[in-house]
Amino acid sequence: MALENYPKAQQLLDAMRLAGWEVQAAQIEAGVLDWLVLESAPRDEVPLDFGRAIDEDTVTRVVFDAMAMQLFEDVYHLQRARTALDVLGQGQFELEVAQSFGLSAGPSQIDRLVEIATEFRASLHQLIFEEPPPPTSAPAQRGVM
Amino acid sequence: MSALSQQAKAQVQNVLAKWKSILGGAALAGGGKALETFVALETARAIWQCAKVPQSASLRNGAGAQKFVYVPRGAPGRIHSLGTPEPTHIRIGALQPPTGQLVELEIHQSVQWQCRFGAYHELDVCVIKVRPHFGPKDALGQARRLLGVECKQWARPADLGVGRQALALRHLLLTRRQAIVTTGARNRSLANFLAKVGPRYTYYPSRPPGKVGVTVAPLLLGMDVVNDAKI
Repeated sequence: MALENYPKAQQLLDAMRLAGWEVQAAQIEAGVLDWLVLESAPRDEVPLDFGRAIDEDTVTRVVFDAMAMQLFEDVYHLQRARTALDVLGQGQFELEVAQSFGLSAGPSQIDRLVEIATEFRASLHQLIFEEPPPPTSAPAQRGVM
Repeated sequence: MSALSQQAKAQVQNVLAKWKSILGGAALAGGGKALETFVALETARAIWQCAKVPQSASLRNGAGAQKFVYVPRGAPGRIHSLGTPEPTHIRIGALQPPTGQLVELEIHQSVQWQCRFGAYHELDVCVIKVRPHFGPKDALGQARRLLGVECKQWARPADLGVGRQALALRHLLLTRRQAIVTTGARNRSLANFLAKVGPRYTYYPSRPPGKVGVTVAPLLLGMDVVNDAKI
């Protein structure tokens, strides 16, 4: 099984490589291939569907989600962390991400980065799928799961 | 090269340029600390909301003083160790039914705990039940470790080694429940391993790759809080 069978997904990964994210693209490809193996494996209840085909749109969306997360994962996590902290402290607690943390950003910077990530996700989604993303699918809006 | 790839590439480069202009050349990624912070605070939120009679939720420093800013621990350290900036943890108080006894839980991030052989091991996220009459929290047995979580921010699938690591940590640190949170898919060997080692090892599936799921944690943890007498 290889992603050559899914040209749109492959093109997305090519775009990442072209932009200089070769390692991240390779990691996503490995993860998606593993996911494909699991998805197409025989199920306990229906062993007859071994090797069932997974449509290109599904695979492309998986690559797209992985790509968006790979690029902006930390910001999404921090945003979700702040949402949880707001519940705990009823708005009185703040999150400080320090230099020693590796990602140095204050609350206003995190907000701006989330905004950029959401815009990017929407425009890339439009480009790939020729339709705007559904509102609930944007990680920035999912909040705490 | 397809036109689609070229257009997508331009978008990726454009967003990365914007990103760098905001961060001023600082690192784009924190090497998994953001995921750990999310899991720690989400776990705390879940405990707070699952507790039948929550009494208090506060942020504390290593000396136990109240704080209002949550600062994730930058590098692994002992529970009372101070850093710059000073790391904090979350303390939650809840009344335990049916006795009405006050139970205090703490959620710590990146703390090294002493194992039964005297060595120290880090748990990315750890929930402990505070037992002040037993002495210092970092000694074995003085703080009941209810949950240890190993976080892996990987695009590649989590493999059998992650499962073995969780198993070893649980036995070394006598943690009641050990969980794995990963951003990548699990591979077949890990899936089989976790299915065999039993319900105390919880894998939070993240499918499709790149999405994090910690939905199950609050439910399990809520039960732990409520049924604390059985722990």
